[in-house]
Amino acid sequence: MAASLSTDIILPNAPPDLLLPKHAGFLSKYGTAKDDYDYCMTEFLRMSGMYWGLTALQLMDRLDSVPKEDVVAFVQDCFHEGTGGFSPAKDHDPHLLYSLSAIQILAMYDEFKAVDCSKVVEFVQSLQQPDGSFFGDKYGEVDIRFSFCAVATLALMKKLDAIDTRKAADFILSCQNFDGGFGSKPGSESHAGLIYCAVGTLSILKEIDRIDGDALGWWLCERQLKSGGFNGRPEKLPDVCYSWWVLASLTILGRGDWIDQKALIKFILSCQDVSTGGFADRPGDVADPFHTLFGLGALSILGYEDETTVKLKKINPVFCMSQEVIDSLGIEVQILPGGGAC
Amino acid sequence: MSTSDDESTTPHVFYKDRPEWQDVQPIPSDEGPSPVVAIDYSEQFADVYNYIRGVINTGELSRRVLSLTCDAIGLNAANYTVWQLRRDVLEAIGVPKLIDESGLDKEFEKEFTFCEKMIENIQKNYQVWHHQKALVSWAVGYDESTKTMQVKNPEALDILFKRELQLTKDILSYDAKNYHAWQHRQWILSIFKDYSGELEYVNQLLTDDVRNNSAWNQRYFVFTSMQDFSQESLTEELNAVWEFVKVALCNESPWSYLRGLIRLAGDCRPTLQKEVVARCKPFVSKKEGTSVPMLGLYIEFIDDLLRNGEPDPEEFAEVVCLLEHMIKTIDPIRAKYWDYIMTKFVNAHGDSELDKFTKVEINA
Ligand SMILES: [Zn+2]
Repeated sequence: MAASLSTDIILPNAPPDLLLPKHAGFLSKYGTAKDDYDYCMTEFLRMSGMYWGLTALQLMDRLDSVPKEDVVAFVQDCFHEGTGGFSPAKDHDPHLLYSLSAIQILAMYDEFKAVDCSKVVEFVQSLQQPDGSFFGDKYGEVDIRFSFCAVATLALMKKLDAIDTRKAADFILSCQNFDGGFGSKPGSESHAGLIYCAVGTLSILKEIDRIDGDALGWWLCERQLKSGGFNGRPEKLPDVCYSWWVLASLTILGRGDWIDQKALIKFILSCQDVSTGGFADRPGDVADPFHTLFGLGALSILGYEDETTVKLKKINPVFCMSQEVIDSLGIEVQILPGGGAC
Repeated sequence: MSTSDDESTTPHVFYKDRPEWQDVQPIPSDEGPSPVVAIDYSEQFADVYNYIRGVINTGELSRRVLSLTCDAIGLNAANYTVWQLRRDVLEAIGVPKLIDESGLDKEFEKEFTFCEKMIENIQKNYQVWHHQKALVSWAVGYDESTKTMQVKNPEALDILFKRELQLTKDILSYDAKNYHAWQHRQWILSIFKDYSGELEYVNQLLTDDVRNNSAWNQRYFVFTSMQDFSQESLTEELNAVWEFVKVALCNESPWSYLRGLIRLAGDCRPTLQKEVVARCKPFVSKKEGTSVPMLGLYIEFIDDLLRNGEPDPEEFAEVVCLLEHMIKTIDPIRAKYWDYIMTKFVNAHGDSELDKFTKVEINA
């Protein structure tokens, strides 16, 4: 039988400081070794990989370390004129997951003009189903993640009126479980990553008040383990990416202070790879851009600062992008009134 | 491995060196000049995918393409374009057929076996499960929009129903929390509309590992599918669940489950809440190491009961004291949460409790 001890880790004694220059170096070098096996095998999510790396660089104010023209050209190459969707790399099929990443990248560079955005709107619109849910692509799988991708993509382009937003929210609510959390479709087990998608979608749609912040907030708080890190489901190991999914969700629910923030910071800092740069899922594992973004993103929400480093830019908890970008687009998200200071 | 054409293994001969493929123009990946995105494939990977692009370009849907997709999937099973190509080929060459009482058509059976093997090899790959779902839909003629099946023969349906339950059971025996396997299983139960054996399966899983949150989720899925939320049914379920609660009091899953279960109750909710509070009482302690999720539910139910019923100054004082311990010693990492619950609790009951307490004294 699984003992509860096996579902947490013990942190090394003192966590390192936040090593921003190392992380910037790690990200701008990542993916330059193009003949390596991993690079080849991750082609199917290249567009998202770019978004993770670039957003992390932007949080560190180092976006200029990657040539903008190359990035925009890559995004253009992955745009499918016919459908209006983006693929993860050239010669792949378009999908909502990569369309959101592409639009996020273009938003960062203020380059919506690089593609025909009206086509993107049509693509997203075409994937909404009668029950309000979204297919991820023409092949018809439904997942709450795709609802988030659809709604966030349109919101960034200020085109939410292209879909039935009420039904989109209704579908999200149909995925809510008895424990207050959300799964990927009705009946599926609650999972912190999917809760983030649910809460983020409702926040963009300004329907976050349709959920009980106390019940969901409690389930999210229960994700914090003695090590300070969060898991994504009960009895699972802590992982840096859940620092983001859980903390961002709690922040949108106005309940970010319900957890032990100091312990969380210590956990996140311990996941840095001090030699290569970057963050891993857990201390001692291999670093990657995905966990690097979510580690930095959580630290940004927490307002982490130390005397040796430049302050991270503020991140938007819904879009997982620099707040500056969201402000410059004039987008507002809905945050539930706090549960901390009542 | 089988020698059949649609189950070929990693090729020893490059497609570019195979005479039977000379008529297809391979298309190399054109990634453009950008240094950010240049991709250098391994030679074999490049060979197979050049031919995939080649046949997509010509629209060829044939048996040899089926075998080519098998190699491509073997090299990268996460490529959904290749899976879709495979389904297009299957349809074009007429492999999918409705199941009858003697089982699946022979060739279609081979496709099921292929996919089941892939699922066993890469259990957390989204594409393999999606493919399996497509195969089942074809076999029973399932129409998603009307939620109906073309096949009505119970014997024929039973063959497939059992097969899919066994497949997911096998996969869950490796990892009882595999999200894809659970989703597939729920989908199977709901399209075949048969939940009769599922509670037994859930009980087995919980007996093996009472902390298996996925099994608790499935329990709720099964319980609610029965649509009987009477006091008798809920009480019976409470009794059954309590056996698992006792085994590991600190385990959060059953407490979440009980919260959800009792939310289903109508008029009998206070009765059930009182029952749970009474059952918790012997385990309530103010020491570190006590069950936090149990105390959370205990406090929540007392709060509800006080809101809807008679005031109870003693219970009120007891909960306030308990909350103080939650904040300071029992669960300090969530101190802010317990602060919030304390404030809510005192605001809801504090003054009125005091009033009523005074009234009781005056009356006495
Ligand atoms: Zn992770």
